[in-house]
Amino acid sequence: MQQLLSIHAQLENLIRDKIASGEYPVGSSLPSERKLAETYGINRLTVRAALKNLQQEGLVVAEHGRGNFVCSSKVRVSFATIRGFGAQLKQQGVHHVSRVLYAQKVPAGYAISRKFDLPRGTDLFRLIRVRIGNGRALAIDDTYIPYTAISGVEEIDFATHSLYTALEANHVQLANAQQQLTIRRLQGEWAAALEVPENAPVFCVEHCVFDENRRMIEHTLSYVNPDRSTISSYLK
Amino acid sequence: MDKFVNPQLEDAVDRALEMLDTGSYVPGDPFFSPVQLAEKLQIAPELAGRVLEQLETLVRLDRRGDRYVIAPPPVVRNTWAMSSLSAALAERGYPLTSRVLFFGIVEAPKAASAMLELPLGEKVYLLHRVRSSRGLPMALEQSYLPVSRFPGLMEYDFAARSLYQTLEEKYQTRAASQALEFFVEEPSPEESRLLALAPGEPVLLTVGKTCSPSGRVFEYSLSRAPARRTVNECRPELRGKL
Repeated sequence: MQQLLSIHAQLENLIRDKIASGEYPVGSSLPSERKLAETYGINRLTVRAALKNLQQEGLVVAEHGRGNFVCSSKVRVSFATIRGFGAQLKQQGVHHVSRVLYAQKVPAGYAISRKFDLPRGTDLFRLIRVRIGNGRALAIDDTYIPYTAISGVEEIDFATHSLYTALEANHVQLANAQQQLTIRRLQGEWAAALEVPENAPVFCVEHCVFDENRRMIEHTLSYVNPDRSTISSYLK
Repeated sequence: MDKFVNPQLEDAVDRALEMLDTGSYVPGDPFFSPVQLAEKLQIAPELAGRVLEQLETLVRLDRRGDRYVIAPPPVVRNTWAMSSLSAALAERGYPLTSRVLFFGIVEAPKAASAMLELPLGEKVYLLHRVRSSRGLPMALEQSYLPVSRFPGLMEYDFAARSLYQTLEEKYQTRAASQALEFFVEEPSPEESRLLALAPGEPVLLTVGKTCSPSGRVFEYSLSRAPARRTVNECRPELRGKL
């Protein structure tokens, strides 16, 4: 996979890994553009493109005349890219675990069968997880995938295993995605699990991910705690 | 029964959604009372009451006093490609009108000076508008722009003109990219009034930094939109390691 990425995307991943490993801690400055270009033997414009993407993701902030710094404070969730929530947190140096609230085979009802464009009653796998970063509830993901997309899906412990890794292991190639950002109010056990007051407004991100054959492979409603996360996007 | 999943409630909500999708309702039409819905779906009135609450949360119904009516569809804002709000909404059949609440020169507040990379207190234009469609307020927008870069901008009437179009045509400054951050915010009483919000209704605050093709920042913006009436849509890139 890595060899297919452009040079600046490879540099982005390298810097993300260094932030995640703590080699570039939160608040620290990154090496200068010139230093990065020299170290990896690449063009400064390529370095600049990589840093610009990291800035747009909110992982790095540029301070005029001082350089680029690793961001702190709230967890940042990118609305402009799809990457596993755990992977996004790891890149920010946030220790991430999931708590599985529900994981079962279910028949597709009216609304979800329309999303997947499958007959009503088709078997889906529903997975509800609380995503926890540094011990605090950051999001609840309510996910559906076709039951047959991952063999032995009921045996996988999604508290420790990534859904996307499991899909990739089952040769599912994710091709494109659509997202919608709204605000919803959470009640009852869901509010308690996200550690927000009853009826609190939270971000609701609907992800629809499709494979190469344009079949929907994942539908997730992600309820994100707005006091602990910032959602960012980039338009061009 | 699972603590997080209530199959009886979810099934009833699902059936009610099907009724809404297949019925010939238009926004503002009355929907069933809990007793009527209970009869229709053959469920208990208490459960029907919870179904109606869920449909309100999903913004399929609006509450008017003690009854429910069909909610209008939300305004979908494109957040994957640069376009002005007026152009984006016009494409979807929502002609946009603007009312200027304030347009003048002010000293750049801290956030604006940081975003625009200007010294604190530098003169900036502040354009504050309420954007409406079909008589319904869609957003309160504040734009900060450096005076030094856009001399004479106050000659233009931004109740009638597009800001980005004016910057492109008169100042050769094209909005090429925009970094956005989203927040959930409790509006001030004045903001609630201007956006015609129900008491306690939150807003979606979008903070933007707009750049020209050269990457120079020329606008810092704050847009507050009614949370119940706004959907931001995106086609994200599948980038890097999943």
